[in-house]
Amino acid sequence: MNSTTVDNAAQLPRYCPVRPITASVFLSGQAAEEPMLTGHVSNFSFDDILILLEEKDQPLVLPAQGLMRLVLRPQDSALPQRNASLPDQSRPISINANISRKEERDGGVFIRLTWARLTADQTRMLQQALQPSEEVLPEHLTKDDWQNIWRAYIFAIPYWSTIAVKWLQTIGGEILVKLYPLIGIIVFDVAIPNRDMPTFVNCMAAYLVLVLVRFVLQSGSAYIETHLSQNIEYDASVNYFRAMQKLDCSFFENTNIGALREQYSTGTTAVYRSIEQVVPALLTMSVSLLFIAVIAFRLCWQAALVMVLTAPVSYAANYVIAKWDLRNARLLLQNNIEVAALFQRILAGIKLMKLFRTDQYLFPDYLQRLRTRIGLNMTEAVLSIAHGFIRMISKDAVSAGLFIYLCFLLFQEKLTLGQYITLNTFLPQLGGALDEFVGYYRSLLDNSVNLRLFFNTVSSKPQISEAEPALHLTDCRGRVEFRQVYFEYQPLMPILRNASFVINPGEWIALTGESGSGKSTLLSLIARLRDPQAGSVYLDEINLRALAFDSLRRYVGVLPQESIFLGGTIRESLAVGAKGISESDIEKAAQLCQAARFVEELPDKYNTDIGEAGTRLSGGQKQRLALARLFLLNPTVMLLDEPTNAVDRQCEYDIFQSLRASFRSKTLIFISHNPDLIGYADRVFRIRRGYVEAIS
Amino acid sequence: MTSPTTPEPSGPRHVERWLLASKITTIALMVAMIAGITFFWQHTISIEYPAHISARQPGQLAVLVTPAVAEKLHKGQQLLLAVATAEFPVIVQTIISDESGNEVRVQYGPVDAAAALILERHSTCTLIVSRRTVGDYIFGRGQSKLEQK
Repeated sequence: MNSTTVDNAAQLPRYCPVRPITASVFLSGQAAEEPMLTGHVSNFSFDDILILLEEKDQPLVLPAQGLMRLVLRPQDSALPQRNASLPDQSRPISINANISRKEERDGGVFIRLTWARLTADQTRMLQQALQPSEEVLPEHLTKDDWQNIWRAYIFAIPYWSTIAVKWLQTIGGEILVKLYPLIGIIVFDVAIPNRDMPTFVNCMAAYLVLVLVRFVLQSGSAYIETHLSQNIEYDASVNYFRAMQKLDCSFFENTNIGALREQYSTGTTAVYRSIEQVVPALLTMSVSLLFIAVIAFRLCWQAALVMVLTAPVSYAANYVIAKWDLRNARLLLQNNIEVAALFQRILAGIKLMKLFRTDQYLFPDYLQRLRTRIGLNMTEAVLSIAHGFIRMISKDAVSAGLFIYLCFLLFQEKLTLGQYITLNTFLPQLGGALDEFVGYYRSLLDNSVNLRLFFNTVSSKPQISEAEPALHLTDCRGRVEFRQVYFEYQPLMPILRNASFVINPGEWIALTGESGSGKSTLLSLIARLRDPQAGSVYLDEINLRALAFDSLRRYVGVLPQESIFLGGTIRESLAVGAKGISESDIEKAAQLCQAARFVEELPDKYNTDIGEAGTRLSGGQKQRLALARLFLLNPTVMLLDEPTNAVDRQCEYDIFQSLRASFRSKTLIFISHNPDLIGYADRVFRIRRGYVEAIS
Repeated sequence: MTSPTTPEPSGPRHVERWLLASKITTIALMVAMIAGITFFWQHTISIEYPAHISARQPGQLAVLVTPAVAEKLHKGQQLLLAVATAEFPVIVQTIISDESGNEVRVQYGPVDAAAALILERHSTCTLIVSRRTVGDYIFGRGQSKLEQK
């Protein structure tokens, strides 16, 4: 097959920059400072760019053709430099391009320019224009945050009655606490001055009953709270994992597992907190505040009013401190995620650390993050002290003044001793309840960050999803076809360009090419672990996008370059994914892959524990077992990514002999650099610079 | 927006039983609490002092009380005088300390004929200085000016 160029530009992906880029078009060689045209980049692709022109008084006169100089300048130059290796974002990029045509659309007048091959710097600059800016978490709840809170409430629906009972317990306990001082009025004003023992005994009995009831309510509340939080977090976890399972490889390639774990942990808790925080906590706070306020105002409205008037001071203090505190809290959250991510990477690289006898692998970074955490926590402590100080000034000073005022009223006999004692209890409670009310929004805001991270992940859309309705295959011949397939990992950096070929049923294809040329990518496109940006892949003339995942996995089997095992025994590891297999099937598959010999030598044979992720097996052993696992699936199309690179030559030969003896009728596509193995193939495909060539 | 699914939690049975027990107990306690508070709030508190009927005159009555009790009484004060199961509203007219100073004579009046008839048969009585609900005490409602010294 001869190499071909991309001739179907319409199918290629087009990109819309997420940041504005101004474009100035100069005549080639024009030295004048005034560009011929200016506009904004509307979108661009691998070979052309569309520029939305600015309104001009003069009618636009474009040369029919000719080389132009295009100067692109990103607008948000204030954005912090994320990677020192990338070009300065504020630096304009100059590109030579040809005016292709002028277009008039609803959005305005556009010109299309076709460019020649881009340099690495130009490509990077355009790639960066596609990356969204670092998310700046708002200082106020946004519409999305409210939507997330509503989504959290969906988790509460099955537990509405339990939540209602929990709220009753909380509010009951709150009211009971406020009744204690009221009993004091009777004791101090009636029972003690009059030596009225029956009233005193009644009051004490009432007090004890209140204490007992409150204890029962509190115990019930603690039990129900655990029940609720555990169940809601369970539901949130299940939801999270289901969402994870739907996501494709590209998501996990761009996300650190440690960071995901941290998000999962904080997010599931945030779901419960949101449920508890928004309605029940607000209701409790409101009822409690109302109750205290009514009693305080009835007992001494002047003192209560003074206390209420301190609320704006408290709010101002809260607002000022909260602004710094919130920023600090978010940095702390980010730090926690980074620490978790680094921890995960360090653990994954522990072998590397041992091999190179170094603890420098990511460890300094990790320590730096930990030091940053200390700093952030200390800042939080300082902010908390500052908050406490302002509160002390606003609240405690007022409380001291009120204490003197109440004493004055007591001396004047305008207040009884019981009322005085009760007010001394209630007024600080009133201040506390007001503070809680003032700080409520802030606590919502704090939780919203975790909730946002959780739901961002949960609602991540998989790039590869099953069609609805999907086609189910009852039989498969094993014909694989690529039609004008274009694939890239990075914008404007194609791995496969316009790949078109057919692999007939039962044909054996060897894939060769330099490292990183796209051989494994080609296999992943057949297995639909990725979707091409343009063109399609067909199995038995059915577009893979229309095929059900069940059918695809049934008929297309993959042996990845790195053998992946979950752990457990050899038997369990081989039986993964296969249904209705017998003991003899397992042994036969192991025999075919030359794995039976070493398994039989193990004391527990097929019941041997392979360790977590198969750490107790050698690379060659893992590879042979992975191959046996694939054979047990018995797919029609087998995709083998360097299937024998970890075994010795004799074993490699034996495996391919077994393959030829048992699976000659299957379609087999394998990647290899070994000329001996390539000899087993009917045809050899080579991938070079994104083009697939049939070389024999 | 992806709507989250809410799978059934699979807790052990006894957990559900405890949960049900907790719910029932809570609701019962809340009902009992509301009833209890209402009852207690409306519960009447009386301050009662023992007294001895020392003299009966037509339309007038005198009782002996301790000086400590007499301190809480003042002229023109309205209160109740109770004997056995009967109660009579009375108004303090004079408070006279006796010679020994251990007892104070308080004169009340007027007492109607029917009351006088009942009182004739008793020598001891109880002075009820106030009868107010807990709610009234807490919020200071219903406190008669006559009761204040």
